[in-house]
Amino acid sequence: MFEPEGGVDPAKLVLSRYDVHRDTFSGDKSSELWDAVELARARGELGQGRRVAVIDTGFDLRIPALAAQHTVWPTRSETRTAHGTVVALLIREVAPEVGLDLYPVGVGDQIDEDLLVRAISEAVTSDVDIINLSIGEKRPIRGVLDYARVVGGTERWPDMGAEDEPFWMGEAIRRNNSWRTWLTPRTPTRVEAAVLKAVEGGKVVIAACGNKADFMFTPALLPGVFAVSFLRAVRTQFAADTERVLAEKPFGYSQSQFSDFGLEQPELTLGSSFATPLVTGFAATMPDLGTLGPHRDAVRLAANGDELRWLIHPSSLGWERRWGVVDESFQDAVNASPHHHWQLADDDRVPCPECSLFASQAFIDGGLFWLRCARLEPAETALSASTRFAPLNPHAAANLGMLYAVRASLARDAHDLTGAAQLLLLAAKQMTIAAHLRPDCDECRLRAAEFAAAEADPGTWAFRPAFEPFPAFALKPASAAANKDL
Amino acid sequence: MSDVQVRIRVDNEAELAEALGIAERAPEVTAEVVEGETTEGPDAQIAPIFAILIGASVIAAAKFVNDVVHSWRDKGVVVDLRPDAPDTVYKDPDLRAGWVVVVLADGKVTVEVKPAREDAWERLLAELLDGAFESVKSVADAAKKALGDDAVKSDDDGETQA
Repeated sequence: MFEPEGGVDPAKLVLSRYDVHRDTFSGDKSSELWDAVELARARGELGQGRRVAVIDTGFDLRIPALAAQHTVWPTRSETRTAHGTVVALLIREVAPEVGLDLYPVGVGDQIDEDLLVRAISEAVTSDVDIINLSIGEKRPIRGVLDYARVVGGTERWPDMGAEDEPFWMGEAIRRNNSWRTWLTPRTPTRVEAAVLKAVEGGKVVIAACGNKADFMFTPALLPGVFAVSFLRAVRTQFAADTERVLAEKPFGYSQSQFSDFGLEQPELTLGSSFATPLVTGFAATMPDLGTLGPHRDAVRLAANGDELRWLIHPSSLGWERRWGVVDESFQDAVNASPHHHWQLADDDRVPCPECSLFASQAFIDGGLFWLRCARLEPAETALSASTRFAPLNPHAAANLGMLYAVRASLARDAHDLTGAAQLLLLAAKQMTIAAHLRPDCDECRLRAAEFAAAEADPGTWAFRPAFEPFPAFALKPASAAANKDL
Repeated sequence: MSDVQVRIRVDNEAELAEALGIAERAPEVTAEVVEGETTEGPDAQIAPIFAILIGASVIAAAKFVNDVVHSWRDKGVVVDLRPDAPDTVYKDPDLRAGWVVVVLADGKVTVEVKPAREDAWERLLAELLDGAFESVKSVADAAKKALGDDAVKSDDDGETQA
């Protein structure tokens, strides 16, 4: 399609929120990313000692924060600099003490491929830890994705019906655990060869997943590269007092569906280009970059469980194997998470910035799933761990509060009023924390008051669960439930 | 009434921000930026934006367009309903604020949207986006009825407001 020259530069929209005097961006910082950044800052993890190669269009060195960085070669005079400038500043927004090597590779409105290859090659031999590539070249999915590989090795289930299809596919995804294994082998391009060499050389390469649905983008699709996207958290009430948060495509622009890490999209921030430096900055604050790979696996597995858990209808024939896929996905996700917080003793459980960002979905959504299945022990293990490593996440506290309330109701039904009162105290405490973290959550506040009042007289407390357990899993005292270890 | 797609041209970052902000507050509207075609080879993962494509019911689309027009206080606006028009809604620097030019295949109608007639204009706009009118004359007649005779000028009258 022909377009006239010019157009509005979306990078300038982001740049307009940068305060050069305060060296920070304005705007809402209430997402899980910024919670994790807050935890990292509390531990003094600001990116010090790390270096990042920022390979992008060009950089506006009139901005003092960028002038203080290492510019490897000058930006060409005719190049638009807003894109590279925003990318570099966003990395510093997350990791203010990281060192940047700035590689301008733009010419006019485009990327100079020769310069791009040269920049990647020089970065490989430099002392940078991470290479940020908010750059991509699109490939039609049909040209790179081999559907036979998606389900390769996964035999069809006996008597499979239409309802089974997404779960059977989910099982294949769970077993493969990387969409990159679905790609047709091919000879790498010059740029790809340079990126692969960087990965082989031990550099962490973080790339934009690309801005076009139904396309894949390179270098994001290369093995060993971390692809980053924006997602939109859509909150809906699906029962009177239960909130469902779904990750949906970002607002306002089209984006590839293939990524490893999805961040909540800030307002008026269009493009996976700008999600990428946020993850790069966060990675720069991590003590061990080697955990990024396991975190990617955990995120992928948890997302698989999450997408499928809403599709379970336990009343229909063969639901057990569908349920099993979700259960295994969440178990694998929790186990893939590198820090194994669920195994730690209470005294060793401390806030963990990276698990707060990358492991919350596995632990919290997995915990909620097991709660609905009346598997109270693994649910408590996962949710309890999440409240420790992600103390700013209201969902961790709220769901753990509900779990304690469920256990209190079971104790009350077993005529253990003392035990019920103790559990209601714990439930009220967690709900109070959730209400503090989410002041807009009336339900958290009401539940906290309900549980606190019930503690005084559990015998007359009329518990109203916020969820319907799957019918096949009758709630019963934890000691008698058919729980198994994570 | 049916669902429609409306392409709204944006000329600067402020217009883009305003239009996206309005879309964010309208959950019944889907909005996606229209980027320039990317070239062969690697690109920075956001291209220049030329327009916003919204999808919505005609009622929601009319409200959205009207809200966007409102946010463009400094100039008048063109609503181009010709099937081959590249953009449906865009600013016209030669048109006074508060005036809207509706372009059809056989000519154009210029209307002045006064604050007191906002609701009537929005209803008329919904009908326009729904393709309810086939000629300048029919639009002019409907506009005169909705907005008053003195607020409407059309090719059909032999004069054009510009």
